[in-house]
Amino acid sequence: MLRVQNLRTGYGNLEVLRNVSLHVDAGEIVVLIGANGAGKSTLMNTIAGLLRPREGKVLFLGEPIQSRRASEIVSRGISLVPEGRQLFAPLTVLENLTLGAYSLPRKQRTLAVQGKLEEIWGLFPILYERRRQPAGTLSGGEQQMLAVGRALMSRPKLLLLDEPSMGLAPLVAKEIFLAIRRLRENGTTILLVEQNARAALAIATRGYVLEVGMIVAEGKSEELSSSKEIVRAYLGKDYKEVWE
Amino acid sequence: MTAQYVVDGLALGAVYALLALSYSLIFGVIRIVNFAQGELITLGCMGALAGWSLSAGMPTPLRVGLMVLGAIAVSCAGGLAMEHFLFRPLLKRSSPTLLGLIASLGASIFLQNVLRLSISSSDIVFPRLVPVDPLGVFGLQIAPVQFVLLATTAVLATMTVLFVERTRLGLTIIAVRDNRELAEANGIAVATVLRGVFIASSLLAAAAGVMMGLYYGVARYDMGFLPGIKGFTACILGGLGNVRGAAVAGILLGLAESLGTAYISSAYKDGYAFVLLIAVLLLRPHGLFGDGDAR
Repeated sequence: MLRVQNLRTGYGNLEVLRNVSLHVDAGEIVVLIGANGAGKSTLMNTIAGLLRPREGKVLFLGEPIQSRRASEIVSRGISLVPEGRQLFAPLTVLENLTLGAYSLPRKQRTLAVQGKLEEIWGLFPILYERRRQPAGTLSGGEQQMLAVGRALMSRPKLLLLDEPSMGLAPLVAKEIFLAIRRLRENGTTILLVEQNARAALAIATRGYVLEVGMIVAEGKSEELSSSKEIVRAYLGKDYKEVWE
Repeated sequence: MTAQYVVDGLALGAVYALLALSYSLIFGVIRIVNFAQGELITLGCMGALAGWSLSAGMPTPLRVGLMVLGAIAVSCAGGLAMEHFLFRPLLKRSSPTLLGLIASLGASIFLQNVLRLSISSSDIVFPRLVPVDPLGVFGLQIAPVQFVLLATTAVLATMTVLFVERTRLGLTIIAVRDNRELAEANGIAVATVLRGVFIASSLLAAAAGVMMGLYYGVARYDMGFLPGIKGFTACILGGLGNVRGAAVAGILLGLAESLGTAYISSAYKDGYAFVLLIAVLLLRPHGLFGDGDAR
């Protein structure tokens, strides 16, 4: 479904992604793990069209999209949930979701919005209760739910999730991971960036490890979870070990 | 007498309200103070004059139509040029707010001097299409042109507020203003929204330019500068980016100026607005109606 080939992206003199290749097949949850500064968000933003790659290709459903505008990529079926629970704070929950469907063709919109809203209320019932509240007044977990909901409104074939559990209480993070799993059961393909590698590998089919802009390991989730190198670097027994 | 000054203040405030709205739309989205906004008024007024004088000899309704068209065309051309050559490149830089402030001040001086050298350095007569001789209404002296000013502002202000708060495009304006990157990721074509905002803002400035021409009966290359600054003042008074607040604050500013001139001194005519501004900034830094991020 998604195929990234020899991608290079950077800012100014700094090259962040150095020859990254990966692929995501339909129906998969693929997780991308890596330390801070490894280039995970840069990769996500490049796929979503917010950044232009210097070299390489991004193929979606067989077609190159690396030079397309972000708005066009959304209408082709890739939707990004950016890092840090981003939403339109002064707008209500309902308005945020409605805007999420912005890229849908006019004719389908009204119907599609209704259908999608039902689905999102089902996935996150709390959002329905809060639908008339400004998004800025929601709790962290609710904001992340809304951020995911907003991205789902454009009916994506591929959902890009950039650190959805960041800064959330463990219980709330767990709820988000459950929702991600349910999304996949409903047929959405997902590329997930996570610091919480253990939780991410538990729901993913495959994974890639990104280190200073290069893919250094890839494999099925079970393989990655059992690889000594990766356990040492990303799944450490406790935080103390990781820090030292 | 006070009632009379209130009426005059309302008419003046109507022009400021249009300008404040025009400022508010742009500032709300790009967060850059556009000092050249006042020049859009001048361009609108000059465009109207061009439409009027080029159509000499034609029937009056047609001439008025061409006048409006001229105002819109010239002002929008100016607004789009500012967006394209000034703000779009600056928004890609690292500190657009400061750069934009200085660059737009430069653009303002540049445009004034282009107009001065290419058209005239003195007053140009603007046709008195609406009578300015006051009529007695309930003991007040109200000129028909003041009615026109108030009515036009009321209609345009209502349209602007409805446009921002009720339409889909308005929703995207709020979205772009709040979080440009997410708006982009959401599939909103940010560049198109920016262009739309500049057009809407130029239309309001054009209307203000024509109104000023009708009211004062003259046009001048620097006619927009001071009203532009006052429009900006009203925009801050109303809470930056808050369209409703901007309209109301424009009217208040006009009242303050008219009453201040009448009861204190006419020497400080252009100062009252700024006294009001300083007072509001000290007491309510988010403006009279703003909470910073309100619509």
